[in-house]
Order: sequence, then C-alpha cells, then structure tokens
Amino acid sequence: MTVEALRRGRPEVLDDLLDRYGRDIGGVAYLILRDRAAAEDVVTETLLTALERGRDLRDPDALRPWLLRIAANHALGLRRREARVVPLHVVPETGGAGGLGGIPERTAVVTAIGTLPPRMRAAVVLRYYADLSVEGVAEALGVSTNTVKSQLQAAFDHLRSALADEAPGTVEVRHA
Amino acid sequence: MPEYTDERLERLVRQSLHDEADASPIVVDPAVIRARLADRRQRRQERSRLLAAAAVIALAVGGGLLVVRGLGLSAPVAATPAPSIASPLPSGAPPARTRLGAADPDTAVVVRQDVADGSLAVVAVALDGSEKALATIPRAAMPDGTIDLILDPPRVSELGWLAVPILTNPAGGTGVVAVVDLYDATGTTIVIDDVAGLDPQRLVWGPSGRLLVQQTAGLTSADPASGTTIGISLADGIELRGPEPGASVLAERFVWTADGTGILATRTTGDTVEHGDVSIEDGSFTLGTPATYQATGLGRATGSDGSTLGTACDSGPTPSSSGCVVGTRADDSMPIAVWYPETLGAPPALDAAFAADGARVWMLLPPEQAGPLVALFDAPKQSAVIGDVAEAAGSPRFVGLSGGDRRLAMDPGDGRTTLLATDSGRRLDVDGVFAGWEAGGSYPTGSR
Repeated sequence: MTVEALRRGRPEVLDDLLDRYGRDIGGVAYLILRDRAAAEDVVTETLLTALERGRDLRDPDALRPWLLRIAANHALGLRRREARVVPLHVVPETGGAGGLGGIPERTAVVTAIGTLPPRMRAAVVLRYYADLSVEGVAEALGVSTNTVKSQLQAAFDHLRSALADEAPGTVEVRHA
Repeated sequence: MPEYTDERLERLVRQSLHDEADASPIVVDPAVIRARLADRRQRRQERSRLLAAAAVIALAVGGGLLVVRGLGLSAPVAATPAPSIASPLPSGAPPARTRLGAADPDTAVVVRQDVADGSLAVVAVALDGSEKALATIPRAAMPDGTIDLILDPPRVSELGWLAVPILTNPAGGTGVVAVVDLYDATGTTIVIDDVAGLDPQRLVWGPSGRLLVQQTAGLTSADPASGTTIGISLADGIELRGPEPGASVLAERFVWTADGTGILATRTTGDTVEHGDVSIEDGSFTLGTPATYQATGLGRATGSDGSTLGTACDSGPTPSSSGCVVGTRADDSMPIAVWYPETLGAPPALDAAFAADGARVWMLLPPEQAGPLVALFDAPKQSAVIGDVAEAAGSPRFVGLSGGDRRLAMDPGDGRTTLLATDSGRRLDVDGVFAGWEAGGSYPTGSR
C-alpha cells in the first residue's frame, strides 16, 4: 500500500513513511552529521525526494534501503564542514590526565567513529546501524563492493588504534 | 589490553551506534514536511508558468534563442555528451588563456540557482555590490534535467575554469561535475557524469588546468581545455592522500604536486608505509616529498612550514577535563602549537583558516552579543578583531581568502556568501555559493 502510494506520488504517504522509517532515517542522518537540526532537515528532504522519485522504486522490499540510501546521500551532501579529521596523540595545555582507560568502550568507539571521514563514516553507519549489506552500502554510496570492504576495514583499523591508544589524552583534530 | 577482533569490533560498533542514535532520536513534525512540499510545488508551478510564457514569446518571434535570453541567460549553452574515462571530453579549440583582468583582482565568483528555471548562474561580485554575469549552467545540460543540490564548494581554477559538483541523483548517490569556461560566456557546459558518491573533496584543480575527479569507475583527471581525460589506475597498496603528515587513510582532500604531474600518495607494503606521489599519466609511484600545489581562493591546505591546522579535542577521562584547542602541528611527532585554547574559559572557536602567508591564522570567534567576530592571529594567542559576520541559522565558516588576505569570503551558515575587506572591515552579504576569486593565483609551493 505504501509503495503503491509512493509510486503514484500521493502526499498522504509521507505520514506513513515518517511513522515507519523516520527513526531509521533520522538515525542514519544524525550519525553521519552529528547535528540534530541538519539531521531533521535530511529526514524531510529524504521523504520529499522519495515522493518525487517513488516511480523509480521497483522492488517493494527495497523500500527501506532505498530510503536510507537517499538519506545517506543527502547527509553527505550537507556535510560541508569537518571534511578532514585526523587523530593526534598529544595535546598540550588541556590537562587531560587519562587516556581511554576511564572511558567506556562504547563512548570511545563513538568518539573514534566521529573522527572518520564522512564517506567512511557513512559506510560504517549504513553497514552497522542500518544493517545494509556490503552490496547495499556500495550501491548507496556509488562505489564498488571492494571499496566498501576496504573502507570498513580501514575504519576498523582506525577504531582498533583508537581503542588501543594508551597515550594520555587521545585527541582528534578537525581541520579547518 | 583486550584483543579487538573484527567480530568483537563489529558488535561494539553496532551497539555503540544504536546507543548513540537512541540517545538523540530525530523527531520531525509531519506538518513541516507538508509545508515544504507545498512550497516546492508552488515554486514548480511558477517555473512552469514562466517557461510557458517564454515559449509563447519565442513562438511569436520564431526564435528559440530568444527563449533562452528571455529567461535571463546570457548565451545559448548546449549540453555535451557526458564523457567516460575511456572517451575524451568534447574537444574544441581552447580559448586563449589570459587572466580575466578584472578591475578589482579580488572580485569574488559565486554560483546561485535561478529560482525560476533551476539553472545555475555564475556571477562575479565586487565588494561595492556590482555584479557581472560570467556564465550559465542550464538545468537542461544535466543528464536528467535536474539540479538537486550544489555540493560545496564549486571551484574556480587558476586558469579560469569553474567546476561545480552537482548532486543529480540522491537515490543513486551519484552526481555530475559541470565545467564552464569563465573566459568564454558563449562556451558549452562540459558535463562529467557518473561522479561517484558525492566526493567534492576529491574535486581538485591542478596547476596545469587538469581537474581530479572521482568517478564511479575510478579516479580521472580531466582537461577541459584540450578535451581529454586520463583514468588513473592505482596499484595495490597505493592510496592517494591529503596534505596531512600521516593518517593517509583518513585524508580526503587530495593534493597535486607543484609540477602538475602527480598526486600525493602512500605505498603500503606489509607494515611499511612510504610517502611519495603517483603519476597521473601512468599511475607509477615515486618515492619522495615533492613540492605541492595550493591554489589560492579556497584557503591553504597547509601552512608555510607544512603544518596542518585544526581543532584538537581532548577526550579526557571526564567531561570536565576534556577540552578543545585550535592549533597547528607540523608533524606527527611534534606537539601542537596552541593558537586558541578553549579550555581557558573561552567559548569554542567557530572556524579557523591559514592566512595567505601560511604563518598567521584567521579565526571566527563566538560573539558576545552580535554576529561572530573575524580575528587575525599573528601568533598563538595574539589576535586582532577585523570585522564581523551576520548571524545566520547555521555555523559560519571561512570559504575563501583572496591574494594577500585583502578579502575574506565566508559562509555565514545559510549557504550565502559574506565578503569582507580586511583593511576597512567593509562587508557585503550576497546570495550564492562562493566559488573562488576572478583573478585566480596560487600560493608559494611547499614541500610535504
């Protein structure tokens, strides 16, 4: 019913889409952008894009990944800042006494994911939050499956390094 | 220390992401979506009416050209077939490449979308508010006739070409790069299609006028003047990198060598990572630290000493012990030179950029009452306020510096452009996305 209404471009389908998929779309957008207002904007734009291009959706079972793909690309398109992020090892003057030892693993992981470049972060979010297949992530981001695999592996290497870093005050640098 | 296997990391990442998203659920009011839909449909109807009116005029005089001009375009612009890596760009005799020679060398180039017909207008804007149309990118030149979103930023090359990354298919994750010649208002719009995954950071002009583009099939260097493209195949273990020393896997903005023959890269063999560059001609890797190219207009990638600039945040053991600084660092092994310590009770800096000399730093600082302040730091922690930026919905940022720092271009946070004369503090707010400066130019090269 939803898909058929979407294909016909009927605006009343928006409420249904928001109800069913709004949380997932918002989650993907927020995890890529880390900006609530921008994520809300992505949810709106994603649903409007879906309404305008609903006729392109051929497989009803693909509705969720299709929406998440639109959301990820809107989020990446909006992501104009923090394009380059690299981890450093020492920050003088901030007085951080401890490393990651006192921080729960999940917090450290979230922090480290936040330092990934946008496209790599999007791949991680789509794969491990949205549970898209590697092929689905590749399709969403317009790259090959090998690229997705290497991005996920590079992301894991980065996370592993961040978690293992015992230097005081693990930091990130957000390049201007 | 626990061993982080892929399986364990995967579980950890899944749980962490869900925790993070659940902690900040995004709630959208359906009424907002319906209102935006109504607004879009109204604008589309207005556009249709305008097109219909123009068509009537055209029929009356029997000329299609008038239709184009009637819509405010300066010249007929034809869409060209989108080239692939294997096929050349549309060829033609390149125009003589002389400087644009604007009366004011600091005239800004902005790109704005025409609400009526959806095309993109490229306009030169001087600080006194005067404007000059440079080119038009028609909506019809796009593969499916739509321009959904300009991916920031469009980029003017030193030789006077403009590349605009455009999202045409949000569902497919692909877009195009539209290239126009700012020297030739009657020239065609060159469309490089199948641009992968919205990678504006990988859209970089080189010193010889070639444009690095990430297409779905791989990296390509395109030369709009000669109408040629070269696919760049990278051997196993070779990765392009940005200007940062180390952390190559995280780099997204690629850097041309000063001679325009290669791109900075790393070669990984086992645990060994070597720095060098890859040839755009044959993908071969050369060890070394070549001089690099940095076009003016959009800010330096590195300082004059090769250092990088950024905000370092200490994820200390408790929130109260955490904090951020704006700093520079020349090398992985060097400490960060702290230019702006946010941990000393100061509110966080909004943005920072190297000055043209690569030795000073511009910063956007949070205001006490009015809009954000623009400050120039001559040295760490020594600054002078130069001007301000109008408050907008989003966070302001630097988008360009003209030669010698005479003008600053900023996005106040709403996608528009604010121009600021650094000597007088005079400010101009204009519609459109900043793309560069009409005069072009490049910074002194640096070795990295």
